[in-house]
Amino acid sequence: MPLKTPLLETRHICRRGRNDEPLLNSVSLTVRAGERWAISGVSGAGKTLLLRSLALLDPIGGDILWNGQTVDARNILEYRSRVIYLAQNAAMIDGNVTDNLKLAFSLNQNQDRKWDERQVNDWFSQFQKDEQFLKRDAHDLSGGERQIVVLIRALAISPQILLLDEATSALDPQSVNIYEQIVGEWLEEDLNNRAIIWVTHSKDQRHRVTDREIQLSAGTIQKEID
Amino acid sequence: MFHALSNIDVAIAAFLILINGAISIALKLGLEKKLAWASLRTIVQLTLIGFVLEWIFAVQSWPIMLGIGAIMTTIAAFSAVGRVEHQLPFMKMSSLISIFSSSWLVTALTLFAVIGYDGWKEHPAQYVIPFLGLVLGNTLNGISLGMDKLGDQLKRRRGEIELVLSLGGSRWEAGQSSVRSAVRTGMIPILNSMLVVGLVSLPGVLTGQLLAGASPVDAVKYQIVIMFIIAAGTAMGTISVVLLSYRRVFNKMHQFLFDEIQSK
Repeated sequence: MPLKTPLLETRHICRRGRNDEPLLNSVSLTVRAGERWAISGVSGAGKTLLLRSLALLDPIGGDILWNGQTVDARNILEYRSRVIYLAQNAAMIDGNVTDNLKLAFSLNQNQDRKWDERQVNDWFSQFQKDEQFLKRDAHDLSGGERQIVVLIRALAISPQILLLDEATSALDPQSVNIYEQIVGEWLEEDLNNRAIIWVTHSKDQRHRVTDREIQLSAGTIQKEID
Repeated sequence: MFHALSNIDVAIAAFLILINGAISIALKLGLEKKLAWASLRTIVQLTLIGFVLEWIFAVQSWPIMLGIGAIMTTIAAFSAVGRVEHQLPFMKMSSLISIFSSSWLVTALTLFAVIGYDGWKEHPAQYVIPFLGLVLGNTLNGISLGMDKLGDQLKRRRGEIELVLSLGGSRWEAGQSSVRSAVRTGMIPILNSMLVVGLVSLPGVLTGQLLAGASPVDAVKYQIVIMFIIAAGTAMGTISVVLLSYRRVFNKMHQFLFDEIQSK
């Protein structure tokens, strides 16, 4: 079977710190449709930096190609609305859960996206969260509840690639299962056009949700495992 | 009608500052040295400016006047951002551009359009320097407060800013709430003084004109003009410096350059 076209390709991306010390060294990576990548490595190896760099949240050296096109100032907003970074301690805006979910829809870039209330409610109900939950003040949510909102906030605008940074670290095991299941189903729905990249410290989780792995050490790829 | 103060009169007033010193010592506020230094600077700076003004008023030369104005503006620009807690990139330059353009524009508008009396052109220094000084002093405050707030907001709201960016938001969508909050803060002092002017305090220009023997109604008209030009100068200066600085913490790729913000 011929290889699928790459959704995301990085070419020698580098990142330097405040004092010009190298944080990421020439990381090249090709992510094809349907692929489920894990990024592993000890704390401080550069996993979060790599995910942030993939989302182009920080200035980096090197190129990122998205569907074969270089991401630059012209398509960066579209890119970021499709390749979404989910921070481990993602922020909540002032307001309730619904306000947070609809934040993305208030942005100019996402005006063509449709808010699918039925789908959103369905995701929440899988986590045993009813409509009352949507009315809760976002700043009162627990760490785990936030992580659920962060996932659904991202899924609601139909992304293409999810960059998950320790995205289930605050969830109980049962919710982790549901979380993984929702992400898995989302990927299966459009295998020709979606992918996930997952940073996780848990080996078990890596085995469950990913099938390829990059081992990072001191900002450099040590090994790629298929 | 105008009565000049003797040196003795000034000395008596200086005696009053000793009360502050005594309070500071009694309550162990540790402010005595600062008070003494501030008092000394007040005397020296004002005495110097007295001589400088006397000279400027005597020569009435446009180049000298504009030169002095430029020096005043530069000092205002640098002191406006000198003490703010978070230093943003190119902040001094942004402050200089903003304070120059806003205060000079407002002062020029006042002199050429508002003051209907053409006689000022015969002794322009008496008008240009005081008007410019008034606008500068207030714009400086607005810029200082606005920039302090902007740095604070950008530092504290990093999570929200990056959240908006990570969902496809532009740098403006990500930074606008910080920008709004900074401009609002910069405008607070002038709005407050416009609300209570005349009820709580008689501002300097009004007091000065009354002391010099002007009729209260005439003096009040001047004061109204002054309040409006100060408000306009502050608004323009604050908005400009906040927008220029906001642009410096985001780049073309709509990335938030958080590391460029240096905290004191």
